[in-house]
Amino acid sequence: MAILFFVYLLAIALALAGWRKTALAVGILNLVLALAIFCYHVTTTIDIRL
Amino acid sequence: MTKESITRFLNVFLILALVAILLGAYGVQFIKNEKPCPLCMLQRLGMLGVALGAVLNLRFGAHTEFYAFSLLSCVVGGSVALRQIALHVCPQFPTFGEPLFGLSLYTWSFVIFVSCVGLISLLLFLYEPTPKTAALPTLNRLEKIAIFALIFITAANVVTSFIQCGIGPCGE
Repeated sequence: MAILFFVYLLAIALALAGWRKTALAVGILNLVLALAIFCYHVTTTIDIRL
Repeated sequence: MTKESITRFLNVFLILALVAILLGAYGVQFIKNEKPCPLCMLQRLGMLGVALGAVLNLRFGAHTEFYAFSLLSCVVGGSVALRQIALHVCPQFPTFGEPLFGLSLYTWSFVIFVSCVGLISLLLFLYEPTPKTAALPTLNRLEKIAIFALIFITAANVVTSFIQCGIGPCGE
């Protein structure tokens, strides 16, 4: 999880350095990774029992 | 006040609001001694994603793809918050953490993400395309403070999540 936070830090640094498309691409990649972790969590934890 | 100055101010407000919320989360973590769960960390990531979109707008001028990125972060973060609400909504499942003003933190998180969607919608009403030949905007003092506050809170999250979980995924 620390890696995901670090990648956002990297994206901010890239933005400040002037790398517009790279910063956005890194941010999108990180978001996709976070979504993948969330999907993994949903499929491996208990389901809601009604 | 021009549309551009209002837009830039609202982007700064968005960053500072999210930084304040993440600082509040640290208050809960260290003062109330409630460590964040993996879902809580994913919600923090969602908020940082929303703020990153605002940083890109300040640095390069408003672009629809930056607003789109912030909106996608709201959707992902809001989905995680909704999942956590659903996990604890049944009576026999206790709430996770102490409630704040009657609502659990993950419920507040969902409210925040919905509010961000509303604010970004307002920003899109104010949107004017940045000309491709335009020079990069210069950051004023408040904008620099907001961006450095975001850098600080992101770096803090790197350190604390590493201490809590190491390099890999966090356990339940």
